[in-house]
Amino acid sequence: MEAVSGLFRYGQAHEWFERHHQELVGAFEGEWVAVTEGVIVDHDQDLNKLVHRLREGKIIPGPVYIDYVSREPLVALL
Amino acid sequence: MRIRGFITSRFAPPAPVLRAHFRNPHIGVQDYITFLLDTGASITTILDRDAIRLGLTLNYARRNLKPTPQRMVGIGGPAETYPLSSSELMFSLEEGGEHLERLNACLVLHDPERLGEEYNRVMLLPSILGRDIINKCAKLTYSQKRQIVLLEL
Repeated sequence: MEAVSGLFRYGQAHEWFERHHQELVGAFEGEWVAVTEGVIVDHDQDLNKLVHRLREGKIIPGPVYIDYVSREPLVALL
Repeated sequence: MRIRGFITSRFAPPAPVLRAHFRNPHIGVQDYITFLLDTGASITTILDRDAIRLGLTLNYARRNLKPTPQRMVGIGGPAETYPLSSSELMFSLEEGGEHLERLNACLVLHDPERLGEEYNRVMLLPSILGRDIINKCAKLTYSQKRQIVLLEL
């Protein structure tokens, strides 16, 4: 099933993002970064613009991990 | 059947998260989402950052979805909420294969024009996996010391 293999690859992209976060901070702090298969496919300060380009390129929906790069961890009061 | 999550240090303090494939066949959206595991949340909720990814913008929601009757206020200020009935979450199982959960999720969208600069901070909030899913599990193991997040069905 495509969604299953996609979920595995999405997980790999997420883990890559976590492992390389410090390097990402150096290059992309304050930006949203899209990662798949160990490659940064795009980045932007505006998530809407980034997602629009990824959608135009038919990269999403798909196993691309997108997250905000920040030196400071998020303190979430939910 | 076991679904393994993990602990991310992107939050302070570190937080348990789970990955899933989200789909709502009625409105034709699907994509991968990382959820914050939150036993304090009643309902699994899709928040702004993942809504954008799914194509569920505020304009789309206002035109095409029926809002919940009550106006909701929570962290991040007033928000518009829309039920996402008959949604599906697919998880990978540790032993192989997948597990599908059907749920009535909730879409929570904030208005950038109302929130101003605060909207950029709200965008950082993750979608939430709530007790509507967690309560279906026989056992939840969470240990930051042992780096374990495990849902057993």
